[in-house]
Amino acid sequence: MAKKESTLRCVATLTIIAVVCAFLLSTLNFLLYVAPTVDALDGVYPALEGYNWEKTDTVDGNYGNGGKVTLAAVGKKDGGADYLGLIVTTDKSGKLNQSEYAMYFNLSTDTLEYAAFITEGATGGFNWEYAEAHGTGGGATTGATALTGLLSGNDNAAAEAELKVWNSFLNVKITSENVLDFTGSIPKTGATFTVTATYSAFNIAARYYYENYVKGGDGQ
Amino acid sequence: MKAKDIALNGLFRQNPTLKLVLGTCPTLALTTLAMNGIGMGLAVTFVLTCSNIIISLLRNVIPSKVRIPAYILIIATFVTVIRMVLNKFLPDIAASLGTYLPLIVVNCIILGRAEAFASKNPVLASCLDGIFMGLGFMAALTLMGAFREFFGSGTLFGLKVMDFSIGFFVQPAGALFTYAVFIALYSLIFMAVTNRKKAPKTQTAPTTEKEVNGNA
Amino acid sequence: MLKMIPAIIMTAMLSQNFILVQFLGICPFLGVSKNIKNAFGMGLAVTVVMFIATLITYPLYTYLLKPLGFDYMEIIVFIFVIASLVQVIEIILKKTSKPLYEAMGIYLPLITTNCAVLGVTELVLTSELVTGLFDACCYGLFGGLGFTLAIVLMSGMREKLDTTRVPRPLEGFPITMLLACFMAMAFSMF
Repeated sequence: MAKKESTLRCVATLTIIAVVCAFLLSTLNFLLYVAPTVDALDGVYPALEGYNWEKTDTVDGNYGNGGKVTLAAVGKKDGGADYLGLIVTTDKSGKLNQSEYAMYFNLSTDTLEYAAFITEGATGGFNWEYAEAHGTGGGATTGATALTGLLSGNDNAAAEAELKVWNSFLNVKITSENVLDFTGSIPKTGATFTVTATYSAFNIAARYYYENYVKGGDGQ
Repeated sequence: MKAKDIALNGLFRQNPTLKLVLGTCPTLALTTLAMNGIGMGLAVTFVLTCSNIIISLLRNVIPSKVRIPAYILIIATFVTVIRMVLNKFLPDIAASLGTYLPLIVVNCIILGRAEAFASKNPVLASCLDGIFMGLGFMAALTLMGAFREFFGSGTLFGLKVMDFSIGFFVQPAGALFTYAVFIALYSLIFMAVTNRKKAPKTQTAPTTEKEVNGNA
Repeated sequence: MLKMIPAIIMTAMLSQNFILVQFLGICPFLGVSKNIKNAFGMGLAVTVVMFIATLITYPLYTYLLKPLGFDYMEIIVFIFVIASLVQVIEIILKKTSKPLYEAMGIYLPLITTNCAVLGVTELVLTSELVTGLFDACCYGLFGGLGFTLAIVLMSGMREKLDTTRVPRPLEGFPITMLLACFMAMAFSMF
């Protein structure tokens, strides 16, 4: 009996300590979240040398399991077009989940012109060999593809446009992975989409742009 | 135990790096720069002090059978805390400490002090012990870092002081060489000091292999 | 995927040797390298634990902690997995194989706080060479073998050292580290 009690006490003590620790850490994790700053957009896209970035309020940039827009900023420069710079952080599954991507939309032409990695998620397993194997795709046209779908009223259009969109992504070779549209679910359209979290990032950006800068007029 | 004794023990007599030879992994890996020594030293001091306080508070509550897992849990929590804090406020330092930051969990100094000191002593003494053991660790690491940085890269805390440098010192082999030299120097000084105090306890050069075995 | 395996083996075992290049697991390296037999036992025990620990923590992190957003619990979870793993292995060995338990048993409790084990579970999460579970386990296994190699070589030298006289301030740790210093120079050639 005495032995049983002491075992119980051991387990209870450990459990209590574990629960307290976990609680403390989740609180701190929330408090100490490191949000990206506009500095993250500087110098990523060579064509935007000398732009001044100003943070805008991120309007509902959270797309469930797909990921979220963690920073939105408008870049201006005398004599240059206005740009929307987004930092998209992917969640969930697929290669390169929990990565940060910088995406640049030209506000006057409604196109996604450029995208690049800022930080690579922990999943790893990714090559920078796309350019060698396939040649690089044209950013301006493919960026528009995702938006065109959305503009035509199909909520899942971004997912359908994916296979074209990723082509524009800077030097990335994407291997087949079962993933996900911008909400983090398999697209409704039926076809088996082989997509990575990288695709989700494009879709999130396209959707964000569509909702804030196309559908509702000028957004903010 | 008197505060002065605790302080002297941590900084010199029982210096965790040079006398007890604990926490060797970060000592060897991170001393390429003096600044790393300060960063790692502060992180360890924080974890050591906090875990010492908590463990001392709970010393009559935790059943001795599960004390090691309980200590590890507490230590791991504080290591995660310092990692988050560094990531948020000092990302450069967090980046230069790299993998060695989470590895503070298995730093023998912390578990060693929890077991040898905090589990037997009141809170205030344990807190002081944590602070001074941590500072002793930091002092040793910073000195070694300065030495290796000076000879290996010709700089001190990132400032250029010398035009030539000996690459050997910043390589892994140089770390082991430097550590050996520092322990040897320390035991020479230690011997000199203890002899002068005319209290020739036979305990001189490092005799701590057993302790390391026990905590490895 | 498979073509990375030779690179992983070379890296984990030699060019990024856990003890001599990354300085992970120095405590047992200095503590348990007095004779070849003990060093070999320790090396083997560490290898087994490193392999199984990676096998468990890598999928746990990739498929559970990360997707659920609990990645900040990584350190606590990993160290707990390692500690329990060591306990379980000890119990299994005790029940099933007496000679193996006698050979490895005494080293097992020391392994929980061996930097190399927690080190490898953290390293495979960020290493460029590791693209999946198989790679991760390979890294764990050969990292462990590299650990064994270093500790056995060291113990061979220390057995010889026992019969020589060493200047007093260099006794014990310093002379051992000087030896390791020369070994590290050799390993940095890879």
